[in-house]
Amino acid sequence: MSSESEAGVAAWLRSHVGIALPSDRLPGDAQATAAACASVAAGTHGLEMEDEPASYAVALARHAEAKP
Amino acid sequence: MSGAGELAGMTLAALAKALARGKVSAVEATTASLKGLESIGRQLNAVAGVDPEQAVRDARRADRERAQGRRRGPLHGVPLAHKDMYYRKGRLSECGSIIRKGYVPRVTATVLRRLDAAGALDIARLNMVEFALGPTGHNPHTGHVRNPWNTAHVTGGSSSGPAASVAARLVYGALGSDTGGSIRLPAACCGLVGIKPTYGLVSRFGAMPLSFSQDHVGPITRTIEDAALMLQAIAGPDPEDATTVARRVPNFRAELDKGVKGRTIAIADGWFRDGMSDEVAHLLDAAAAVYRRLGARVQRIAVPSLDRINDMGMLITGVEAASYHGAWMRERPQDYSNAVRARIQQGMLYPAVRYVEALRLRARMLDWFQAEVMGRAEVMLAPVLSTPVPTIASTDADGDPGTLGAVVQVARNTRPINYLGLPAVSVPCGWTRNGLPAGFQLVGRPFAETRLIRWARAYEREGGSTDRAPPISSSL
Repeated sequence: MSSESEAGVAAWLRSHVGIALPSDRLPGDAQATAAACASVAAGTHGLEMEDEPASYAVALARHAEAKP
Repeated sequence: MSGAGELAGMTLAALAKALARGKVSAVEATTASLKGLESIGRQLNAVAGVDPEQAVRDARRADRERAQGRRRGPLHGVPLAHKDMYYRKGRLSECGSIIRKGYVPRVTATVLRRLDAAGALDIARLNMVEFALGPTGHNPHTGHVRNPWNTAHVTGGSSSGPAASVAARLVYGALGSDTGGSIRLPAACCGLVGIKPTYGLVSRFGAMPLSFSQDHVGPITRTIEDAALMLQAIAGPDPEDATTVARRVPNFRAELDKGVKGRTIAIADGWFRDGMSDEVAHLLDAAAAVYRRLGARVQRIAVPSLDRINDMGMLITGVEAASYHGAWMRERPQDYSNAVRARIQQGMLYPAVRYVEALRLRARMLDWFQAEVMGRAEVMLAPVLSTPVPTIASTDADGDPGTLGAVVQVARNTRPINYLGLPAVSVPCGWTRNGLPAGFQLVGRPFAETRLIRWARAYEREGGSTDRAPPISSSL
């Protein structure tokens, strides 16, 4: 991550989230953040999603009853 | 009963039996544990707080009740201690942090109430990674907890104090919490058993949240039977935690010694072998050979990449932790360690839509994993750590932010199981050349803890290593 983009992230956090960094340390690994977002986006293209997150509990129960 | 060494050498199950038969008193067991916590516990930096007078008072009450023929439950008089994030009304709970320094909760965690009801004694609060956010055991605020097998090495985290205390035989069991591996990693690093139950089996009410979609509460003990005893006490639906499931709690020891002959286990190859050291690979192969000798059908499975699942788990943890910590991050950012603050800040950068998508994909990912990875197997054997237990110095992300990415990778093998919500148990399987323990995890089908315990016990009886005590322990 370049120092320019580091400054950008710090400014964004200050203005949008109200968090001022106490030092010059950075908000984590921006590459990892971007990769995780891309990974989820790829999942939404490659896999059908449930309509809402609570379906997960139903899936757990379904697999609990299934025979291996 | 004779000396403290003999007492410390007992497993939780053995002590519970001795207490029930009157061969040892709760005061004797508690006094020995307190002595160990005060000396060895301090040496390992495992103890966050202890009230010896209260502990002895509770032990006396337990002995009085037993003398009157009243036994509360199967853990009556057994001294336990837990990660300092389980709230007990009126008692400090500081969560390994500066932020929560002096915090006195107004509620008692459901799991503590259930252990109380089973007769267990809660004699100390144990150190942990700051807000349970870190896989190694480092904590610059309270000091790093030391591994009793070698104090230069990490305990694993975030349940660092519980693992160090149980391994050093200071207490007979401890509650940890597991959001990305925080029970299984320290259990493996310290040569112990740790169970991360199915999501929804154990209440999280009164436990400090990290990521409410992926937080799990479970025991860390020396043996699988001990872990089953503790799990039995804490499992079951709780009106205070809406994510708990209204299922009948089975007898987790019902199949304990029934063996695995003719049953199928999947040995995880493929993605799980990426970056694995030869030493760890050898120990896992040896574990697979034990199951083969026991008559199990052993199938090697080329597990496809779980990177996407790991990414989604990280994203969910980041966002949910950022939500919980938002006010403190605005008002007191300087009171976090650098590594923890960095990870929480990262959570603030994920778009909300991606977070919801990660949750909506969870059911389908579970379907895929069950069909493509578990297949017809009852359990899957996979690594916990891919390498021998590292040193404290080589994994200090707070001192060297450049290592944060590598440190996060420590949980690569455990984190996917939290996203999927499946039950898993960490089982000790020997030592690497540096003298530190190693462990594998068995992953089961949802709510199949009884079966998982059966598989773990079969290995423990045949190839297990629960008798050997670490160089720093109460039994010496």
